[in-house]
Amino acid sequence: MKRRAFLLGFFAIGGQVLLLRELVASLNGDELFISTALFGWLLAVALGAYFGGKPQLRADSARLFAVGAVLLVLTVIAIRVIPMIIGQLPGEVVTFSTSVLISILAMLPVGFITGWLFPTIAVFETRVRASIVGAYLFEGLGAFVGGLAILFVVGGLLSALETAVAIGAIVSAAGFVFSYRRWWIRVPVLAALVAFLWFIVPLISIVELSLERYRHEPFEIKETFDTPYGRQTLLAREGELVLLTDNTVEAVSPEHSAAENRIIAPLVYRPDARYVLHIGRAEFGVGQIVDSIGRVEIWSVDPRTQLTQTVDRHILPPFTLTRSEGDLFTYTAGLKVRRHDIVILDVGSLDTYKSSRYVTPYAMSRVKSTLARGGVLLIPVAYDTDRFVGPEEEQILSTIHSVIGDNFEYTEIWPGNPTLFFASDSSLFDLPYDTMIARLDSLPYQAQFISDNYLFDRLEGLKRERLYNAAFQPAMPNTVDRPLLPHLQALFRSKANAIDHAVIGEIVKRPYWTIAVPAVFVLFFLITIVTRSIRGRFALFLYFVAGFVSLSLELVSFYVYQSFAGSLYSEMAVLIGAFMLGLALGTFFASRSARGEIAHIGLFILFVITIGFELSYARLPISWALYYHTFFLLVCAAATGILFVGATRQFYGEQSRENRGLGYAYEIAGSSLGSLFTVTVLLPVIGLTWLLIGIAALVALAYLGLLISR
Amino acid sequence: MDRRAFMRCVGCTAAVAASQNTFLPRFLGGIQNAMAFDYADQLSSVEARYYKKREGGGVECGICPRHCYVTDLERGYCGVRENRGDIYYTLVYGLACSLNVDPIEKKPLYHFLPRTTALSMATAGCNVNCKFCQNWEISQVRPEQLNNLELPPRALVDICRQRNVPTIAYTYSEPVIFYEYMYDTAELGHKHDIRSVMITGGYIEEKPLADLLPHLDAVKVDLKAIREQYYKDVVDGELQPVLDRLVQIKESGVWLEIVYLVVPTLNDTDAEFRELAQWIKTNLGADTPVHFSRFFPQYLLKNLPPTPENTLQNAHDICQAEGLEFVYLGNLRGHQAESTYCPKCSKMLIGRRGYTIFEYNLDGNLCKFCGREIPGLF
Ligand code: SF4
Repeated sequence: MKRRAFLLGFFAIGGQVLLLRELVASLNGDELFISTALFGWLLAVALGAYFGGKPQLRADSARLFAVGAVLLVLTVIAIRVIPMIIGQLPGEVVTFSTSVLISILAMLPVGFITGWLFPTIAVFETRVRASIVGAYLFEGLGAFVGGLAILFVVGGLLSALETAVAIGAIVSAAGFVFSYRRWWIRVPVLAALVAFLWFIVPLISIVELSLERYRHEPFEIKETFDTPYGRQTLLAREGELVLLTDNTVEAVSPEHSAAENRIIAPLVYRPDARYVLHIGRAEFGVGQIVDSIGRVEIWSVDPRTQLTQTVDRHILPPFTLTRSEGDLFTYTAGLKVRRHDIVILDVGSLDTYKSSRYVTPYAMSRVKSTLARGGVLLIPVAYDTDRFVGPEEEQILSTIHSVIGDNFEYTEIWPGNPTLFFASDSSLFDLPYDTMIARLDSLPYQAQFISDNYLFDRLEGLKRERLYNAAFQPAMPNTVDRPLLPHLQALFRSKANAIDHAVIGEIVKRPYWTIAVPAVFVLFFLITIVTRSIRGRFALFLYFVAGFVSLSLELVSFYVYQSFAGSLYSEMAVLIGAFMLGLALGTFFASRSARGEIAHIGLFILFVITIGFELSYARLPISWALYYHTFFLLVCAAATGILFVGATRQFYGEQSRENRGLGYAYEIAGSSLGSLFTVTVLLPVIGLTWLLIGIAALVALAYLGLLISR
Repeated sequence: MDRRAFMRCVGCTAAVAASQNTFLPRFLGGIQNAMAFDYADQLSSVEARYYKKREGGGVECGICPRHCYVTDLERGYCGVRENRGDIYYTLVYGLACSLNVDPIEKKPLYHFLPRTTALSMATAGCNVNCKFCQNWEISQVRPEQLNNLELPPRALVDICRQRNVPTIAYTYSEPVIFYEYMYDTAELGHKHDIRSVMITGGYIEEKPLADLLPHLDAVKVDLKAIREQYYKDVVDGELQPVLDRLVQIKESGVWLEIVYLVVPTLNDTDAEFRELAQWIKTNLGADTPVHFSRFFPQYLLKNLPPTPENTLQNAHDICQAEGLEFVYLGNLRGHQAESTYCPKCSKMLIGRRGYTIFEYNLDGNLCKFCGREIPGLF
């Protein structure tokens, strides 16, 4: 049982991470989408665990592993081609509602098999008592190893599809080896596995290239590969080079307009600038313009090292370019003296926390730490404000402006596409139009788009007035405590589709429904408390709480870590690993404890660390962040493990004939709810402080129930 | 605490929470208030033109080739016309959602009063749904989703006169869907020497267009492709009515220019450019200006890269080789095809960079160098 449970954990984390990654890459997922995809996975696992726990559906785990492996590979391929199958045009975005439907369907087969495997291994294929706890322990260990392996392998050694095939092969072979003890089965299976990994997996890149060709027909695929941050594809057509990141156009070369908007526009206010910091990729035009200006030097900061080499093979890197691996936070954390005259913050589409974290008071403080006296910050945002500003756009622009306006003394905004936000602590922006044009004319580079040819129209009175009216509206700022921008952006994008707008509009515009989340818990609590067999039934509530609280706190920790310390994947691997390890350790020690009742210990620890997290997370130096979050997740997961064991003793102690996948299904259902609502939906609506207080209150409620159910 | 005592305690807590009805809105922080975009009280109710009542109820709109059949309290495809008790109303009469003073070159109209400006306005709504729409935020929403400006025809004309703007441009979304508003403004404008230009997809019925043309001074038509399939897949419209209207406009004598947005991989083959040039030459004449404009990722085609410069150059070369006399490329860095050249002596007549004009060699409508007449309103 132990080895198979370990294998299940390995397969489950592999399947979940790979499918989620593929879905986000293929369907341009935002925060709301990620939560629904995760929900789809957990729902499928819960269903699988529920049905798999029924004796009449009993199956052989080796076969289930093999089926799951095949389904994993097929699903990854299906996700890549699904936009074409459903009749999307090249480059057409998939709407939110369609994406959600696809993601739930895509998660169903592998998730269901994973859920089915749990009771199969923990109940039907073991004779040991209390095997649920044992299975949980080894599943946790397997997930720990799988999580680390996935995060280091994908984008480093293997592509996502290669990893799916390799995981599938390993899991299928190991499933048979663990189930069949005869050597004449084991030896050929292991030999076949080695041969497969050695000879077949490297050939997958050919399949992958064909899939990409099919996807991007009639573009020529120059290169396509995975990085730990997503899928990168370099396309070429008619002399144009296109960088796709997760299927979205990130940069095009040559694209003078985009480059001039980034570098020429701030030079209007600081024509004497020497040191420019560009958070983003400067090879697609910005660096080339800087080269032709001569005296300006540019630092380009981006975390994707592999991409740097690829870009260099196709675009001549600018001479004046110094490249650093990282992001705004890691770059400024290590900075001692460098002070930049211009900082260009390429924030992207603002629909994820990864991009919106650049527009917070905290990010502004990091920018200020590197900006020289009289320096200019430029944030180009992809909203077209040339002809009109819609109400949803107005919300976004005023939110952005409230962040920069609260942190800099002077701000300026240019209408157009992109809309340009400037900020400085010096009064640089009050310039007559003629002076601006004279400064542009004095540059050694003859700008086409940031020049009198277009600027007289772009900066025309009516347009500026409309934009100022929109951006200067009072608005709540986007903060780490309350990240509003992804929600506002989701609402803005949803206007492209009536169903999306209805769904997202209901979520975002009328957040009163959030009261339903605590209501569900209170209702469930009351039901379990008033039923006759309180002890047994209340354990189901504990399972549910364990799932919800642990997943919520895990996601909160990832979010906070990313907001403060950056987005380095190797560090995220450590965090996920710490969580899995804590889960395994908590389960292990709790299961060995002679004390009958231990759930209250798990609840007590969860309560203390939740409150402790709220009081401390914003007060730490960045250099401590990794240790802090590793420790937090380790303790949080250990407490969850203890709670799980406590709930299991309480439930199965009296209900040994019950469906043994039931507790697991409740825990997964709690996790589903946590993944669907906590960070993605509740966080922007009620803020991190209230979210953590709510979680602590839920833990306290469970504690209270425990006392009553004694 | 026994179970009953606990339940009582829960009940009391819930009652207290419910009575504190001011707590919840404060707790949720007010984003919902700021985002309840519903400006329904702004909507106009002016009776629409060109509709027929159907026997047994409902109305049929006759403005555009969709001929929407609309039952009571429903709206047509464009979302701005509503049946109320079998009287059909336009909801956007006098309600502009966008207002700008643009250089006429931005429309683009290159043979119509160069170096002047146009008061550009639009209302919400559109009678097609192009997947690349640059103005989707206003064209694909209902008017009550936008905060509109109340600007009746008289106000638009007054703004032009106060600001010395010679032309009103009905643009951005699709003016066909605010036909009544456009018609009345154009008619009033002519009485005060204000010209009117319609920037349209050309998806309009013959009769409404025929009635409108006398009040217009120029029309720019976005011919989105020369293949019916493209109109079906990308535009959600039809090609043939647009081609018919182009001929109708040309025959009316109102100034006509054509824009073709080149969307990579969807309408950018040599064969299509050739077919386009031949159709224009045969049906509209070689002297009809054609602008090829560059696609930028927008709306539903957000993951398609911008049109490569080489593709635009190719379109330009093919059309010139086919004999079209005025072929323009827009939004390219310092490209010579932004300027107008004399078809006879090949000298530069109007030198353009972006929206500015740096050289002007026309005497009225005549080439300063060889005297060739250049079509348009100069
Ligand atoms: S104008 Fe609007 S309502 Fe009338 S036919 Fe066209 S789409 Fe339908």
